[in-house]
Amino acid sequence: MNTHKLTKKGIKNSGLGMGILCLGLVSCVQIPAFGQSSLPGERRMNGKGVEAAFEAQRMVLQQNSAAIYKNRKPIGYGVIMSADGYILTKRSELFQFDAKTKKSTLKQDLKVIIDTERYSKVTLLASDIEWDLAIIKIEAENLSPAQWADSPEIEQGTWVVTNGSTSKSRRRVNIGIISANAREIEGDLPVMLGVALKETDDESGIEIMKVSKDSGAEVAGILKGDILKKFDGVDVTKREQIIDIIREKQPGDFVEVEFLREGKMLKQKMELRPRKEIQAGATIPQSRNDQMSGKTSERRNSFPMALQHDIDQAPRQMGGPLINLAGKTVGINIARANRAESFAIPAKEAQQIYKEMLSTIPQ
Amino acid sequence: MQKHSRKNIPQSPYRTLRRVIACSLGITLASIAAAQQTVTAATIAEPERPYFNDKKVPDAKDLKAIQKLLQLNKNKARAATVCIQLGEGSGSGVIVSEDGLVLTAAHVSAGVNKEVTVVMEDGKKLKALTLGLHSETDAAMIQITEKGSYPFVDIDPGKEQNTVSTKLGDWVFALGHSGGFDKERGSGLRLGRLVRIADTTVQTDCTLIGGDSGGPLFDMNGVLVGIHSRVGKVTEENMHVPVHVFHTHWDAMKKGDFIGQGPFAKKPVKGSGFIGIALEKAENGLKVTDVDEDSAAGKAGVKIGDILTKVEGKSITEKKELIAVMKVKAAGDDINITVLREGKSRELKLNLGAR
Repeated sequence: MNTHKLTKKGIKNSGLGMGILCLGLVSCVQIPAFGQSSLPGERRMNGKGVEAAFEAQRMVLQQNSAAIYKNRKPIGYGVIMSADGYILTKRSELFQFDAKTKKSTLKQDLKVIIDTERYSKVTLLASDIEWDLAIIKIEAENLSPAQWADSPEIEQGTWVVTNGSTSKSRRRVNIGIISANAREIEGDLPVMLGVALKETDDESGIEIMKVSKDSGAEVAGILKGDILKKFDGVDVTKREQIIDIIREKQPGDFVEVEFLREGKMLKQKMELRPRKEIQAGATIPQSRNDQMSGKTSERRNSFPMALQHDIDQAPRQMGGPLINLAGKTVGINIARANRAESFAIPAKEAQQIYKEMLSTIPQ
Repeated sequence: MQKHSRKNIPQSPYRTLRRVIACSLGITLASIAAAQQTVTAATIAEPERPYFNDKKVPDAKDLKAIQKLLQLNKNKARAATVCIQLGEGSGSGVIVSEDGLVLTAAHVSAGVNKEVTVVMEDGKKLKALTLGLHSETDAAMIQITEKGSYPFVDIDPGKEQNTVSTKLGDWVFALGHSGGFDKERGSGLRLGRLVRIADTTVQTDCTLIGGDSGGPLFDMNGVLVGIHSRVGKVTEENMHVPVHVFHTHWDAMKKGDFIGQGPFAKKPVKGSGFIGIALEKAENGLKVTDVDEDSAAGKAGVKIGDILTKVEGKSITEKKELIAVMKVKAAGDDINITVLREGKSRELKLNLGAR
């Protein structure tokens, strides 16, 4: 990509850092045009010459990772988990959202390409919304499963390599380094009750302050003013207790709630629905950093544990393996958070969640 | 760009000074200097130019050498990288002397002689004061005002563009508190190459984002070569102020000069400050009859009904007394007021907004 051509006048730049001052700079700062001191594109980080040094890693990705297509367009990648076609990938990219019906449905007619081989029967076997991971299956044999890195520790500054833009027959690498501490990435939980909660002053329960339209709470007939006493079998007095319970739930799960209304205890089952479906149409203001980042992954936070790296990938390039120079998988790409920060679920956690999901698949 | 070997570079006085300091730091801050334990005063040498910088593209073996050097030098670099907080915003900076001199971007410090907070990698907050800045190139200095012995990095001694040690294509790494301080994450490390060089700007493919401004760009030896300034629309365009710009204006910035007419910082204009309250005369001061929630007063918690009794330590009974104070204050300046609320006197600090 030759994006380094400058016009005679130079290019417009966004200042970084201080919000209010930089807004002024967006329009007024012109950097001087650079003279002849410019590095040819092929010698840059994403240039062909530098990428050539990663040929061994490219071959690993070519042969040991899956490219997932919908209507001939790539929607993501996957980590090959077994010789007979089990593939671990990012869950949310497998679904599409219809703004009219406010429903997410599985994308149909998915295709998978591994090396140069095409597989057209793709089934979703299991998924986990907390980690945003899913298992898909293709009809295959003799695939080479990913080799996971032995150590859960990966030092910052370690080279990492992943699938870049891909043609049907030849993968390209995208390169970068581990750039920050592995940690929980906080954010809104992907499923929600659809209520605003307030702890009561006497710590006797949790008061419902608001019920969202189209939420499981609304369907269950929960009203503003109800006092929640029990949630999923647990006595509750703190909001965090409820959040901790929801964290582990999948969309479509029901929880039993007991609450006080006009002096009477009532019991009801409530469905947990995807946040996206309840909040459809709501406009969330874009931060300045998002404005300068371009397209980010729709689901880019609320991961219990993630590695951070500096590979700038497109949201449609998630779900595939993040490998080190030895070709070992250190994580599975899960989100482009912004232009400078990408996340991957670490190898240890990814394998653990894979096992847990496998156990839910009826044999 | 002309070729220069390291030997021919004139030594900067800062450099010499830093060598001495580096030794004492090795004793007092053993943990930080762990990677350099063997270095003594007698054996300190210019860091060797990594061989891979002179290869057009790396091969598989070079990748390992790059990784090794990055991992060796990142910790010392990170210890000296700080988050700078002022008002509601935050940027980054880097400590370059044991007593806490910080280099940053002019659009981060935004002014001279202002109180800011410097946050160390471990979350420790320190009081600091902005020194001078160069508003045309986006260079600035901040001094940590709390006494201490701080981790710091060396600066490339080159005084001009053609005497700096880095060349086009050199491998470099960036650190910065992207999007603000996050203790769990730490500062973000990014690797890239020096892809363009101009008089007062260099471009790399270390991807930057808001909050990184003022943060450090290092060569692979961990020597400071630039300060993050701004980005273009595509992720390949990341601009830094080369450190020779800091050398050029070092003394003026150190003594607190506001240099140039912008665009990266604007000189404060007296009388441009805005408080955001309506007042009427009352028995023991001026009664607040309205407060703009988004104004300096609103943010500081001034409420309708408060009685304004003092401004900058002086008792006040007439509106014109406040107007006189505002005439010498500029947007961005702090102003201390005392208000009477429910019989109690409260002191508030307001950071003036722009009119």
